[in-house]
Amino acid sequence: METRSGENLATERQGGTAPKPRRGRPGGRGGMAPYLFVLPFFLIYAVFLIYPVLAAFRLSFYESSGFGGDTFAGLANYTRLLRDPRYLEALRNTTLYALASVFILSPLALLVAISIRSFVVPTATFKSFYRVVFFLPFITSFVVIALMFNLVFNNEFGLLNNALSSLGLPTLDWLRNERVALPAIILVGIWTYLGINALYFLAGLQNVPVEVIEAAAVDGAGRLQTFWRVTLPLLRPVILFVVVQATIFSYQIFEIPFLLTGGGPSDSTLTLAIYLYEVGFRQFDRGYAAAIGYSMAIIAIVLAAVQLLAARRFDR
Amino acid sequence: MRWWGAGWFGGNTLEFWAFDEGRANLARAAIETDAWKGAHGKMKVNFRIFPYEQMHDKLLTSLVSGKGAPDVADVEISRFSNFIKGDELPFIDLSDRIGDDINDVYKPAATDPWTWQGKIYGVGNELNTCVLAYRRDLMEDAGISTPFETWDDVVAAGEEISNNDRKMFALHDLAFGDHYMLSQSAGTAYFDDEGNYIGDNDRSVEAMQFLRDMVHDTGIAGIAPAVASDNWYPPQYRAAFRAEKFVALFGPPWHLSFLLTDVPDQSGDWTVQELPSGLGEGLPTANFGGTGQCVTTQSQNPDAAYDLVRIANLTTEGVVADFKARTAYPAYKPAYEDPALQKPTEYFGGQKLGQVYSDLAPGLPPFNQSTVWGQATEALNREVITPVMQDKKDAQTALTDLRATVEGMKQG
Repeated sequence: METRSGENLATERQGGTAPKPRRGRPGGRGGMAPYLFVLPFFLIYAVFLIYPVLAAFRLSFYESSGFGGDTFAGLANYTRLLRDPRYLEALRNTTLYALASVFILSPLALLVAISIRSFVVPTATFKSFYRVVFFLPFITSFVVIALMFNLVFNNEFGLLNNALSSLGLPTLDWLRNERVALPAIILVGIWTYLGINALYFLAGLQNVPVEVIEAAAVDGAGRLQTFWRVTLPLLRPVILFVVVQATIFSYQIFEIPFLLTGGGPSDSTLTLAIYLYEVGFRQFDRGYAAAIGYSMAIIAIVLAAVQLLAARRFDR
Repeated sequence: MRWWGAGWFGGNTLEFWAFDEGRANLARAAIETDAWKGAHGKMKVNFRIFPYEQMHDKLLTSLVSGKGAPDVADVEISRFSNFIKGDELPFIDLSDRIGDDINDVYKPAATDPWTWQGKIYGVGNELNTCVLAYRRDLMEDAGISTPFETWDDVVAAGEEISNNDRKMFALHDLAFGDHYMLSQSAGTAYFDDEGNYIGDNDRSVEAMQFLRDMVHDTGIAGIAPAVASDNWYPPQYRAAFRAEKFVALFGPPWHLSFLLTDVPDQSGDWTVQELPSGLGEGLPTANFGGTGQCVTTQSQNPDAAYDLVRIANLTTEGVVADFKARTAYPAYKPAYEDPALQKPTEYFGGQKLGQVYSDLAPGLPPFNQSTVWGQATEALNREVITPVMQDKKDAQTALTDLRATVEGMKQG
């Protein structure tokens, strides 16, 4: 039996023959142990996520609305979506919310980030303070947010109506008026997510090389020109991330409208997620609810893909 | 043995689910009675109280999955329709077990809401006899003669009493209860005894129009404060009564009870009477609300489970305990012999409410269940109550349009 001396071993390590990889024993390094360590996670993931997702997919092809057996319905639940006025109303409301997230929330968040980063907020202490202030809504419980905005929007003693009447403007019953209930929900959504999106942009802004900005200044570019021609193009990955994320999350919006208006009045704030819940639990139509869930997933995936493809084409 | 829920703790345990602590106490009181201890002394009862939505959702899920349901569950009236869809019902038919006890209850309140196709699947203990309640002192000060004979008299009084800061009624624009009560008083319902929608008939339209007119024509009513989590009587609504913004209401005992707890300063100033005539048939009362205890088919101890339901709902001892705990007037007739239910109520100027309610109870209209009851009433809120009460649609059109929606539900 050949034994390797320490000298030989040292020679090998200093550039001689590369050491052969050690074969692990079962249960030793490179054996079963790592798999055993990650197994609990994958088991839980499979039981609580993968299985329900697959089961819901199967369910979406069945008529399953009561006690007793399910009957195969093919695409009936999916074709029903197109004929269901409440689903279309929910889709419309959710899309409006998503559009507001992309075209109002995202630019506002960028504006806030630039303000914190640049001359508007003068000192480092203030910058930290504003970071905290803008981030707080995002970590506040939705229930607390709903309670607070119930008071803000209250018809009789609400903050908003008090402010309006003190300015001599007409007041509104914000959460009970079909015309303004959705804008009110959008306003709460913007308030809630503005800070976190501003932080994404802030992180992006901090990654813009100072040298590039300085070079632009040397070349005679003004602040605005520098922003449009240097900063914004360099922020494109962050913008894409924020927009895609805002779109995906918008199509899942549930808590804020559910807690503030319950989807009312007369479905004016009904969202896809609230409708899914209603169909699944209040109407007890499980197959159709599963189809609504998958339609939400498909819409979010398609829109995200479109945004990513558009961004890629723009990059070229 | 099942995973969680009924039977999980073995044959000597019952699982009871409720969404209200007070209602759970009704069952807790039942297991303290000699009747229970004598028959099931060794039986343990686990009580679980969940939020309203969560409890019904969990109950549905566990019953559909065939695992994890309790032995006994409280099922609120508007949620029962979800459990009667399909060929198999997840609750035990209690008709035979109830037997002759059915003669001792006011059926529209005690069993109708949990009855489907002639079989009784649940028992409720609350008598939800609707009455008109108002501030007698204010009426006297204004020289208004009471009790009110007709709704016209009420409107005339309202015109006298109401001003910019004060209205007679707070009417709901997000909840169907007001219309539900008045349409019953007018002699109609949302469904016939075969579960078909009939809510667009003349009496129903008349009731809806009357509600709308009280806000927008005669101006004797305002829109009731409401929030998404409670569109019936949230704190804002109660506060408005405390501030004397509203001085009258109509509703069942559970609704009136907020006056005693939230508007204590007006004790002695209120009075109740039967619903006035003048709308349709002008029935003196209506039925609104209720929760029934149902025994699930997953129960390993259906006999003990039913005994719990029986003692809580169909014995004087059981229902009087609940009356003493939360002023729930019982649907069990013999209980009205009990002195506790004959006591005058100071808040309502010494009126004997037990007597008032039990006198009206025989006139309760029957309740017709439907597989789409819950869905239909939610659609009613959306398509009729809100637009009509906000003066955006007329009552006839709204109730007629609702027919297509409800019939669409029945076709799936």
